[in-house]
Amino acid sequence: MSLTASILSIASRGELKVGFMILTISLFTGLVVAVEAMAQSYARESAALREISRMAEVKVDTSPMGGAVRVYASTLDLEGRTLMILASEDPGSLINLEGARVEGGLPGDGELLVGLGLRTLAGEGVLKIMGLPLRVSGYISSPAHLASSIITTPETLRKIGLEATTLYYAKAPAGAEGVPMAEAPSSSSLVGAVTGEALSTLSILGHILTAMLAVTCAVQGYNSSQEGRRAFRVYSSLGASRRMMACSLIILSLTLSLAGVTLGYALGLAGSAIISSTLSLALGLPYVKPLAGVELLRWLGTSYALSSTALSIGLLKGYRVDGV
Amino acid sequence: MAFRILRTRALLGFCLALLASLTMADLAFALLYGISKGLGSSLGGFEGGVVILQGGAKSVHTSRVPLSIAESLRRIPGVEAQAVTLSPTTLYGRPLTVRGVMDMGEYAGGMVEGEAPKGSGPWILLGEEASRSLGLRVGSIIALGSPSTPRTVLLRVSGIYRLGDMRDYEAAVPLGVGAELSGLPWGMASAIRVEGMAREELEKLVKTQYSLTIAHETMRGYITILDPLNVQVATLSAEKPGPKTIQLPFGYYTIIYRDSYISANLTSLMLMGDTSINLSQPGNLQRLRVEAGEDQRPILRGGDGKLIPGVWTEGSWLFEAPIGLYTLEVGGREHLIPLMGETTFNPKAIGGELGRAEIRVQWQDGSEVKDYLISIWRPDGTLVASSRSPGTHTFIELPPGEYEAEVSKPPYLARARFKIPGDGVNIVLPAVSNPGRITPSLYQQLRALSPIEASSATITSLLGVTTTSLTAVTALLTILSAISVITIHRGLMRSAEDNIEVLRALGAGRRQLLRMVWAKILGLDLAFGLASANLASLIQRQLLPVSILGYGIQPSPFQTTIYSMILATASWLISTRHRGEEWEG
Repeated sequence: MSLTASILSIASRGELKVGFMILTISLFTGLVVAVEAMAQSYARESAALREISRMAEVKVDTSPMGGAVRVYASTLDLEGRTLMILASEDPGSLINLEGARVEGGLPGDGELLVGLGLRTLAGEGVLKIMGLPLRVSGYISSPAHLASSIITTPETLRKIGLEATTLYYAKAPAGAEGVPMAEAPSSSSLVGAVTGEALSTLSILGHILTAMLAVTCAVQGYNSSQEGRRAFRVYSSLGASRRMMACSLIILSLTLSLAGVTLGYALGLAGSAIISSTLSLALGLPYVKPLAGVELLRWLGTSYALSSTALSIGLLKGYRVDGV
Repeated sequence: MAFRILRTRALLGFCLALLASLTMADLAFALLYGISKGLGSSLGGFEGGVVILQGGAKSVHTSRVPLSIAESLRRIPGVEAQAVTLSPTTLYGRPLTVRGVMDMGEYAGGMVEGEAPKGSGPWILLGEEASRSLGLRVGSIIALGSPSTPRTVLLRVSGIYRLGDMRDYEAAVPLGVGAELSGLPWGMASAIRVEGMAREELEKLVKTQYSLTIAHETMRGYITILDPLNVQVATLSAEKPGPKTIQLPFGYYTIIYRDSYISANLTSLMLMGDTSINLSQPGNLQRLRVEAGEDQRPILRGGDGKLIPGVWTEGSWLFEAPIGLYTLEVGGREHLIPLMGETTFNPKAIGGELGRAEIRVQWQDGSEVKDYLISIWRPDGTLVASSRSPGTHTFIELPPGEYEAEVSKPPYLARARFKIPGDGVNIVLPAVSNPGRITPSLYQQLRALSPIEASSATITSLLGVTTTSLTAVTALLTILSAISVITIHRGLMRSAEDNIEVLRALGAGRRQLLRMVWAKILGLDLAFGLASANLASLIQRQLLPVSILGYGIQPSPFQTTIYSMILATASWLISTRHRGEEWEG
């Protein structure tokens, strides 16, 4: 114990270059803390943003959903135009889900509800598709994307002979389970997806920084042992065993890491807050308050474990290489 | 020699640590550089030129810019303007940016599968990277949800393109489909990219309101001004004398004279400054030649019932009257005569065996056109028939032959050729039935930005960080990386300290040590700088496929290599200087 106290005492007098070690650990940890605190803040803000985003009202998927309308979708090239043909047993519900306005009646068997953009193709109320004359029951006046669409019944689609993709349209939250192909408005799912991507990127950055911290600590530990080899020789000549020396160096690295990580934590939180407020004042950006949560503790723990382990390995390696 | 001085085992450790440290530094740099540069420039695909955005819009995705500006700018010689819409949405929970494009030419040239259809419709082109990550093939039918409205759009994947930039991570649709997905009103786009005009000049041009003074003779009817999208922006009564001045934003305008059922294109102008024009044409007398016998004595009446006298000359009756719609009585029948220029009318043209033709007329958005004038002309310019029509479909009986149908729905005019017998003809008037009006204040909000500024705004809105803060983090990371590499240098030198002491004792000076040891270390630094840059690019591409809004962060090998070399050299310089000072001490 007295050996450990003695080594710590030497270290506290500035030998073994411990100041540089603490600075390095604190800077790396500070950057990790800043990145993570901002990431957590971003996650919290985006969660709030998601809550106030307009929630999905309509969902479309390839798998059946509760209360969904089954729609067969196919495309057709007619007179140089690409048309979308939708067939449903319940065209009325499909029209309601699409928020479409219709002039005329719903299509029955052998009938079509035609987008306004196709009106000129329907001469005298009849539209010929693949040689099959079909009566036009009405026109879809809005929304605009249905101007090039035709709504009909599955039986009529079969008569036309087109292959179709089966889709399910539902009002949210009827199909709340799973991730659908599409939902509208998609702002809420978009916020979630972008947040996930951003957090993943920040997490990768955090991992890179902690890995760099480990490499740097290992090399610094090695250098430090080399710096202190004269002192270690004195202890050896005074009867300190290799095991006692190793224990003392491990305690030193644990202490230095604790000091570095603590300082880094303070630096990271204060630095990110100062940078955020400076950017807010200078560029008029919203101030993002750094958030210290449980996830940050995990990062601090990782930084501490990695830096202390790497420092111990470096110190012990340098001590052994020296052959004391 | 250097290897012996530096001790082989320590050198091996140094090399491994250096490679690891530089690779991680390069990786972090590539990540941050990729976000700030790659993503930023790709969000608009705005690599050059100037971008017009709505001032105050948080990003290009929420900006609204009048499409008529792009149409007007394209008419200026040497200026290229492309309007785009950008809609971020999700497909199977993954973000995908859908770009509405005015001109698909560039995409058509980059197709690797399928093809880019001509004209608008329910189709979509996928970038190669987007199709790979979403697992979609040509022919698939997909649904996309609008980010802001409860509207889903079904689209067929018509092709897959590769442009070699970040647009490979997105999808492209016709501009109209893009506008609907973005929730933009008709006639609006998200942004306009302009090439061939300086930023300040462009901003001043689009924000300023110019005076247009129109002088004209007193006459019946109205003078209507249309913008490049054929939207009526102003209508003046021509019956009141004196010049009239109106304020209009920059644009290419067409000036139309119109009276009941009659419209005539008077002139077109590019309004880029205060302008005065004199319209005298509508007041001129137009000639009408009626191919009737001398004894038939046709009677021509104006809309107000006023008789126009005719004269028998050169085997036909000749009338002179201003532009307008007239009624001609000849052979006991009445005919409508639209007089918009020199006209020849043959009342005997319809006779003998007749065929039936259907003429279908609609607005651009497919809406029904009601109450218009339809005139049928022979290829030699002779007017054959003319009538008012109440609805979209008009049936007309004519002798077999080729004809031209002219539809006049003031202030719009459209023509199409057809044959009898035949399937008839579709005529689309060059406007939508009910276009929204753009307020002048929107023009004053417009801003011309450099692509970097536009990108910075978008990154801020997406990630809550600016390129400035990303640069600050990159700078801090560079300092930390330099500390790491300097530490590794120090470790190497520490391990070789005894050998160096011996060399110094043998009389080796600073210059010799620099040549024997430090120059070799610099060589290693540069070699590992190069290797680590490549390794970082490889790791980023293969193991860390990072993306923001569906855009993959592309490796930037050149910038990463430069960064790596600078980092290695700077660390070497600092280490050398530091050791030199220690030795001298």
